[in-house]
Amino acid sequence: MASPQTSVLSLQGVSLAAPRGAASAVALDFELGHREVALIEIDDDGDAAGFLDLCLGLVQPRHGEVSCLGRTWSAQTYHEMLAHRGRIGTLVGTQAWPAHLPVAEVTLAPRLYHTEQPVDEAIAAATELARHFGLPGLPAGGPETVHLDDLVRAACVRAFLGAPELVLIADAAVDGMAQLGVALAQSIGAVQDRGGSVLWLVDALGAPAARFVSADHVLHLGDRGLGRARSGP
Amino acid sequence: MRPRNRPAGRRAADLLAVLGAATIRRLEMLLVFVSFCATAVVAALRRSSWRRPVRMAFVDALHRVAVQSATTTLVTGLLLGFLLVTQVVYWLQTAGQAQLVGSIVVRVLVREIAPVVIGLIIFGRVGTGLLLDLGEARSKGWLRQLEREGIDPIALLVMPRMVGYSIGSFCLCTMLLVSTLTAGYLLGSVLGLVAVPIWRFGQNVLFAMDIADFIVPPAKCLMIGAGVALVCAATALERADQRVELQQLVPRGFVRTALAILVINGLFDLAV
Repeated sequence: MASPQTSVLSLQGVSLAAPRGAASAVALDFELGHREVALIEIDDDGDAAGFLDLCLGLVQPRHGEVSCLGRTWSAQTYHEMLAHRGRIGTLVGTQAWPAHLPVAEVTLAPRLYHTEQPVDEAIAAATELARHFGLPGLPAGGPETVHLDDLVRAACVRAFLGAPELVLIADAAVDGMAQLGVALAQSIGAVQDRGGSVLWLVDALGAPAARFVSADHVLHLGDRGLGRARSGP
Repeated sequence: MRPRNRPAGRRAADLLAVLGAATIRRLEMLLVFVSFCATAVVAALRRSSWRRPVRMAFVDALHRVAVQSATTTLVTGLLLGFLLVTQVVYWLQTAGQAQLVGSIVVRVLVREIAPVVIGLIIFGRVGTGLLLDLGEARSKGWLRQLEREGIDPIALLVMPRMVGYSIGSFCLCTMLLVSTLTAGYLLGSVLGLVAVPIWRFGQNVLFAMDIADFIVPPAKCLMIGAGVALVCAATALERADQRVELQQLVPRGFVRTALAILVINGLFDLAV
């Protein structure tokens, strides 16, 4: 595994609130280096969201330290953390969209918020990614007018738009869409080619969408903490 | 032990405990709301907060208030003109005090009624929509998603609406005053209550205003607009549980908004 200095994501002695089935909190040590992909099997969706928020610095651990893209979350101010999260793509909550805004606007929002990229360029890049994930273009209507599978695809566009240095995936709807597997694997490959990394929290290692991914770390988060699930490819 | 068997001292202590707990809870809510407002104001003053999606949200909020609510405001102004200005002119003429028309109109309409009516129009036209839009932010999880994407939720969801509603409120207040005075003058002329030309009528109203009337009512409108946005946003973002009906937010928001409008109005009146 990567050393803390070279890692993209590092959890050192982090105490995670007791996962489902565990009697007490578990301590985690985990390193994700550049160009690495990790698949972590987590049985419970709530635990996966908690772990993801821990990695994103939204939840501060009671013990230990979480570093991301070379900086410790606890050492940053609120606005520094916001800017830092702008370099991370998140594929989570794929069914949670604001009802009053068009899906396209919400998809582009992080890109437009964190960069000065011209709107036309951002739309062109997002449209290209949308086609890559099987959409005819960016969904123009509100979320109630878009099919649930297409909302998942739009969430994929949002996560991979703008060359993120780290992508975090934790969504059962994504895991179950086998038809997204190849496109996701290609996008993950593109992230690796740029030197980035991907952490995918799956509910089962055999999840249809995850089968196409070649992972460097395959782990299981259970009541005894983080352990090797099976050897990586 | 059943309550009726308790000693009187014990019951009084229980009552005090309940009252104290309720008071502390309300004070805590008030403090949270004050810090929420302060956060939004600080965000508005930070140049770095005004990113593109924030600017887009501001333009949208301003459009909803100043443009989409303009018709409602003009119709309200016409009705107010028929009811209020005509009555003022009629009764002052009857009392032989026609020269007081300007000062009465300024005191009643410009200083008191217009800002309050505008606050209620903004709540009805856009505040209810804001309650329903943001009411699902926490319960559906997209507020958390914004945080995961590094987007400041206050800067994106609350601050542009606060500024947009505030500026929009001032615009609507100007429209309301002009339409009310014009309608009042026209009806008064038709009924033979007003014998002066319209520019003289306008001059009477303008000359009845002092310097404070050019500062306080606009400031009151700006504050009431911002207050409506902040109260509605805070009420909506309070809802974390989907079991709480979304529709319940509207009556709760109405009561709080009406209270906020009256409090802001009263504070300005006390200050001047």
